[in-house]
Amino acid sequence: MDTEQRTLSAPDRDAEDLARFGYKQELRRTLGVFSSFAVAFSYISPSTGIFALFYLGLTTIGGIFFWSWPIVAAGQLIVALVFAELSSHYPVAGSVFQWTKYLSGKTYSWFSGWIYLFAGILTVASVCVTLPLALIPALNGMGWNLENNLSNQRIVAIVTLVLITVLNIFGVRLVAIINNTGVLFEILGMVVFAFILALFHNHQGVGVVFKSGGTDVTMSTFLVAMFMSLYVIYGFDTASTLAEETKDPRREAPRAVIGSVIGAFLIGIVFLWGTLMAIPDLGVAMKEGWGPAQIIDANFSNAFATTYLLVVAAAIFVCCLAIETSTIRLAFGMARDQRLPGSRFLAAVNPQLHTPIGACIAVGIFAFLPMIQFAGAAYVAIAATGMIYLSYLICNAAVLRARLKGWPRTASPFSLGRWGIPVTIGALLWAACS
Amino acid sequence: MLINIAWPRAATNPTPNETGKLLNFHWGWLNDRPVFWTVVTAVTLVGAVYFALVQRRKPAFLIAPEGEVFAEESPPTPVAPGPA
Repeated sequence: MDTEQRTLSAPDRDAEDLARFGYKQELRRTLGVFSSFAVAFSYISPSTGIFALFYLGLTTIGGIFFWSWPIVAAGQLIVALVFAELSSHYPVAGSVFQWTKYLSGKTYSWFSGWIYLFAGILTVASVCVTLPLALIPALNGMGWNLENNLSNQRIVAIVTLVLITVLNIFGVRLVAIINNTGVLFEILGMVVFAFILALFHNHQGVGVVFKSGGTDVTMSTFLVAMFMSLYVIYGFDTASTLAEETKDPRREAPRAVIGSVIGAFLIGIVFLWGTLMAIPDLGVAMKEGWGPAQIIDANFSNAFATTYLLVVAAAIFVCCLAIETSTIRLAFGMARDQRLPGSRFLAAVNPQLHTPIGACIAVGIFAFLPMIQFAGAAYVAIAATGMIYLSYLICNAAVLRARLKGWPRTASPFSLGRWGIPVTIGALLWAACS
Repeated sequence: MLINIAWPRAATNPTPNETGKLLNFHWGWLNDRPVFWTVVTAVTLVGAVYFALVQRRKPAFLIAPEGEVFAEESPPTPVAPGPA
């Protein structure tokens, strides 16, 4: 670091670092390490995915599906380590697109960005349509009388989509405040519910995680049950794609990427275990496809169950917000390089709000499209999850190729060092085969 | 993960016909294909057409600190979009 750089203030240093990639500081750089972690954690949002797909694991192999959580978390941590090093080298908006751009080639990076963009859009849609599954029963618990049908679910999802798009237009600072608050509530809520269930409503014992409820546990059924964990633990690269809004991103983004996976793993494992222990009758729960809402309803009063649903609804809302924020940055990052139709509109940053309003609106409109042919949250989730893992696979293949050619040649605050190639091979195998 | 998710089965990658008609693309052939396959194919095909028509001839925007570019297109060829 030369003398001139040492005398620059931290924001100027970050802006100068960004300029070395050919971009000027247009987005507002306000996120500290907790906000960066919070956005990535919100994208993962253990309560959202567990609420939506707990039933799938339980009905397939009973309590044994619990073990898919640490397996997927370990696999994703390997991917997160690779992404953390990439974040440390390329602190620019656009994650997978930008990384592959610098490491592979124009065509390859364009397709990885294109696929990841639609993966993000589908994920926004899939989480928006999950919100009514918690919100409508919560409102009914408070005396409303809403029918929980596809039509009402779609209306709630569309209102949510409009709200998060407006919030994203009004800036990352507002998004960060909502996110930070939401994450604290989510973590506190899940841990409190898990401990109350485990300590005072432990019907199955700690050994529930070894009970299959009479079903045959094979590799095939375990892989089906694994889908819940696969759906939950992704999106940790959000901390990286917000690099242009993060202070000292080369240091903080890698911490947030890894921290979000570890945080989600810890919170999720406590909640899953506590919830499984509180199932009054495992056979009935498996037969009827219970989720956390039914388990809490079976153990507590209506007021307590409604509180749980409200906490989940809030967590899902914050999750929607974080996913859209991340997807907008990817669209902005690609458009700024003139890589998307209507790039000028998508890349324009409002000088007062410091947000790419065109990208916000476009992502909102595209996320609405899956709601036209709406058949339920699960089908959108399948498409979203598959597309995300395809993007991760494409990205890791590019990283491995670059590593074999000698990348990285420059030092960075976070480095895998000589473990780079084995970790990337592990990430690639995990993304492809598990 | 990808193989697991892409594997055609009713629980995690159903065809529209396996969804009890909840999902319907109004085309018999497509209703027999797993949902994830259809989505990936559609996104990739649309992308391929757009890339071939518009993006193929556009130069890459590749400015980075020394030693950070490993792309085939290096050395850097900055073009109009670089706002700095």
